[in-house]
Amino acid sequence: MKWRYRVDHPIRKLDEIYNLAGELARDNGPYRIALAVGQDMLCLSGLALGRERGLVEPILVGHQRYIFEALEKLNLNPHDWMIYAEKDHHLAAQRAAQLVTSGMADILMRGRLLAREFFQALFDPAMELRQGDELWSNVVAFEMEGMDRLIFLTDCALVARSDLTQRLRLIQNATELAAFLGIKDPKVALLAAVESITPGMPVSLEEAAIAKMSERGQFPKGVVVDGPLSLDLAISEEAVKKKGIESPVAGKADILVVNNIHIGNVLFKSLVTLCGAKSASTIVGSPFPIIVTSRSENPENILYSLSLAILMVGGKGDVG
Amino acid sequence: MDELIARAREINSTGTPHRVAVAAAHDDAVIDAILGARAEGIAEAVLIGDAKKIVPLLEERGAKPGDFLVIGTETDDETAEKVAETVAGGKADIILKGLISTSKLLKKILQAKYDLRRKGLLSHAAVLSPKRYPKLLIVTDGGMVIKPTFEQKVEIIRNATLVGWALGIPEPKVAVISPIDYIIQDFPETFEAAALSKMAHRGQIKSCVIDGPMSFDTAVWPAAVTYQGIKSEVAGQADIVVAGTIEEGNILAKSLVQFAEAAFAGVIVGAKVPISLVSRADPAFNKMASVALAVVVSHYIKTR
Repeated sequence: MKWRYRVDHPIRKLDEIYNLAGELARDNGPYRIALAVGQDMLCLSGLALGRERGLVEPILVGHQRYIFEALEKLNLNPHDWMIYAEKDHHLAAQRAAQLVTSGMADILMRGRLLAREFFQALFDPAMELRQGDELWSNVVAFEMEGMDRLIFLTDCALVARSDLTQRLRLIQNATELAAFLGIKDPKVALLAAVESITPGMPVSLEEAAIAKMSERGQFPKGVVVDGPLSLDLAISEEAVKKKGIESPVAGKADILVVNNIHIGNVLFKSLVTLCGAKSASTIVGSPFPIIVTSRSENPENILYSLSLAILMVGGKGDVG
Repeated sequence: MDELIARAREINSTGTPHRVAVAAAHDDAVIDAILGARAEGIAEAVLIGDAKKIVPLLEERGAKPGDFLVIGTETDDETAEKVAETVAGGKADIILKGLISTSKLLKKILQAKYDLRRKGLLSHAAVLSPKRYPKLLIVTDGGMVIKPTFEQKVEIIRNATLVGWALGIPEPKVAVISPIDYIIQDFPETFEAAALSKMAHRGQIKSCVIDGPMSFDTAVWPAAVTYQGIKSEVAGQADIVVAGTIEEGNILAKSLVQFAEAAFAGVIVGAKVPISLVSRADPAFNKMASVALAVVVSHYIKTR
């Protein structure tokens, strides 16, 4: 998708995204969001909160009776909500996506179906949503106590395992999102268990190759990539000092790239649960913003993902 | 984690003190670990390695070299050999790895003549204390086995369970981690997780409860369990989480250290004596805690 909105300074807190989205919604009216398989209490409570704050106008696609029940459990009046009845998960996901492509909604959100079912429905060739060699990927922006910047992580939810070419696309997607949020010279860390190249760990060889590409200037200007790096070396300057390693990225990473969804997922879940991080999650590469939340989030956290999606849609007067 | 330190101190103060054989002790990280452990009354040490470097390292830190048995060696092979002899001869109970490669050290130690090997696999267990978790959490394997096979996962679980027992958990709750809680054809490890779980049901892996596949939040976060509606003895209250690869385990453990204010103690289990590794990047407390963990595990192995 085209990023029409312009952020003029590096975003460091998720509340800044929330505030900018609030301004956009005030100027343009609430953004319409289609929830696929809408009978999800957590998504509904997040959307209810977003609607209350004037950010979004939800359209729920799913099993009508279940949606009614879920809304009633949340003490919400079902008759206040726009609902499209579609019992089948696959069809509900496709119907919700069509609401966006036909201009009736701005944003797509996953409800109560597995992420893989959701994306399978969207990647159906008949939907014509993904062109040729496009790579859609999941990027999450985290705000953590003690960090002076947002940390981006990819991929936690969509790309199961990336080969070298796909990894480059993951990096590209994540750096584009970072640049959109005003971080024009992002430092990218390719995560591994240790920083040394280990023949028994093929990932470390791949990561070294990508780091060398960065040294040779094969990435867009401003983007610096290094790896393999362990998590502590990627983000903690103190660990870097103690270990004494030389790296343009170590201790200062903005973006963390993992080579498979297993690592991304466990790290994401560790951060949002035991580490108490706030997060905004999105899909990059798709023709419109897509939100895939995790059930470990709370409704306030979902507001950040809604806000990021609103920024990605941009204002009606913004030109690309 | 303070309880772990206290427990190690208690073990060390009753009976003969626990002794750590430090392999290639000419390294500031292990010297810090040993001095920390000694100051806390957790263990004594035999320092094996380049004596010309070890002595100044001690003196720089205000320690008396005379308080330690220092065995001078010249090569890594010699160091590894002396360590193996020291431990096999009963003069030390624990091995702490200094400036020597793990594989070089283990190759020597595990030679049949020293009789330090057990039949199982060697694996790493990290004990962590995340602030938002009501108890200790063991993460395995983020330090030793790169990509465990099914059989190796069984061994990894047995080893981590032993650490759990040593920490006083009679029946540790083990979660085998995956991105999702369901059996999915594209993810073969979800089958393995299910099979591991069933093996515990059938009594093939003893004195622990295993469940999986389970995503990390389901394993440790009660709200995720409620949302998902999963019925499990492990969900939301895991003692041990088993990662699919070394990267997964390592990055998970480090995230808890970096962002969840967790203290960290690590140990390699599977041999007759526990083996500790400390990293230069570890804070002093964690280095000492790793020695304490090894003391507790060693005591458990000897007395069970």
